[in-house]
This record gives sequence, C-alpha cells and structure tokens, in this order.
Amino acid sequence: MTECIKKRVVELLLTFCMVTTGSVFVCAVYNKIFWSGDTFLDADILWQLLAMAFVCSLGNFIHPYREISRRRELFDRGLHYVYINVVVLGCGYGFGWMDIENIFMLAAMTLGILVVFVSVSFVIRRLHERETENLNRMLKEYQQAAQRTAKQ
Amino acid sequence: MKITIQDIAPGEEEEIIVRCRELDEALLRMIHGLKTRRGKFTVADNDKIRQIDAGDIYYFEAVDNKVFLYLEKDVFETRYKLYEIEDEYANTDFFRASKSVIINLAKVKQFAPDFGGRFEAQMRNGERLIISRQYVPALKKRLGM
Repeated sequence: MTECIKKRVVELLLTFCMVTTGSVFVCAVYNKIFWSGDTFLDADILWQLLAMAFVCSLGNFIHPYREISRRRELFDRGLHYVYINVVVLGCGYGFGWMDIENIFMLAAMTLGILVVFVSVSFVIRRLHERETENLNRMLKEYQQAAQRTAKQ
Repeated sequence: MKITIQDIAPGEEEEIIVRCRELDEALLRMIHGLKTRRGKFTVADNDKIRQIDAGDIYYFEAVDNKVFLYLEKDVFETRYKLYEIEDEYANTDFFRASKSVIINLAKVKQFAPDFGGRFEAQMRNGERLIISRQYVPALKKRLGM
C-alpha cells in the first residue's frame, strides 16, 4: 500500500512538471498569436497555469492502480483526455484566456491540449521503455547467475 | 563447509537442513535451485498420472477457479491454488505476475513495455503474458533493481 501511494505521488509530481512545462510553451505561442501587442501578461497567469497543471495532473487518478483489462485501460485513457480538455477549456474560459466566440482561439487551445497530451504520453512511454531495458538487463544477469549456480 | 549425507529408511521423507550463521546470497540461490529443481507437480495426462518438474513449467494460470500449468507446448490442470504455489515456491524462479498468473522467470525471453505502466513478458515458447503494474515493484526487487 505504501509502495502504491509513493509511486502515485511520484507519478503525480512528474506529470505536474511535464504539464506545467508544456503549458508554458503553449501559453507563449498562444499569446504570441492571439494577444500579441494588445496585452501585457498579468503575473496571475503563472499561478493560473500552475493551478491548471495541478488539476490536470489529478487526472492520473482516473487510472486505477488495481489490475484492469486492456480495453478498460484504453477507455480510461480516452476519459483522461476528455477530462484534460474540460479542465483546460474551463480554465481558459474562467480565467479569460480566450474569447469563447472566437473559433480560432478555441481550436488553437484544443490543438495545444492535444500537443501537450501527446508530448507527455511520449515522454512517459520513453521512460517506460528505458525501465524495460533495465529490467531486461537485470533479467539476463539473474538468469546467468541461476545457470552458474546450477552448474556448481 | 561440511556436508553430511545420511541414509534414511524407505518411506521416510527426504529432508535438507541448512545450518548456517546467516543466509547469504550463495545459500539462498542454492536453496532456490534445490526447490526449483526438486519440486514436482503431479498432473493427470489423459488416463495416466504424470510428474512435471517445476523447472520445466513456463507459467501457471487460473481460469474459472481452475489452475493450469503450461509447459513449452502442453497444458495440464493442477489441483493446487495459485496462492499455494506462490507460497511453496517463494524465493524461486516463480513470480506472481498478475492476479491470475505466476510465471517462471527462467523461461522469460524478455520483457516489453505495455499500456498503463504494465509490462509484457515474452516467454521462450513465444507466449506473451501481462505483468500488472502492482506487481512491477516486486519484480524489480526480485531482479535486484
């Protein structure tokens, strides 16, 4: 149980860092395109981005720690994506980042969500692949040690 | 190290007693090797009774309250429960990979990444089994990571 909580907290922090980084990039691009020259960014946006990234990271809890089927995993992933869209678009509307009637702003925000979601998923996948390489290395060592013992 | 071998009466159970100051890695490996090689499972093979060496088993799987053991090509039902096998073969090559599967690490060709923090164990006979994410910490510990 403790192991499970520890792992989930680490995952939450990792996701939070990645989502924050992605959000800052998207915010910079979005601001350049839609708000350039008109506004000077309020420092509140930094807190708003952090709050949004944290609420997005909470979406990790959609995926249960217990054993689930592959189909359920795919469904949860879809649900996670919908959750992130609701959170980001809700924040965009609530914090006044976008004009709800401007379809281009809405489309750009949705595209930004997709880019960050895909990027974070890609990084997580790469970390998982690296973990797999380590596991395979350890498996080989384990099997070689067992063979040596058997020969003795 | 002194090794003593005693003759026993017919019908008496064979026993190995390890007397040591501490169980170091070499001793643990020896015990685990003995357990894995000496463990045998009795299964029904059509009308015959067959003994299977634990070391030949690729994995165990529970399906509908029945437990099956899988060899390279054959499958047999066994009367043991998964938790009994898990307890009996603790500290051997057998490892609980999910709620319904125990795999033999000696028969794993390699691991591959899967969805949602899970791994896929690719067995030497070509079969693929899922390692649930909640068993991954135990796997890492077992492999010394």
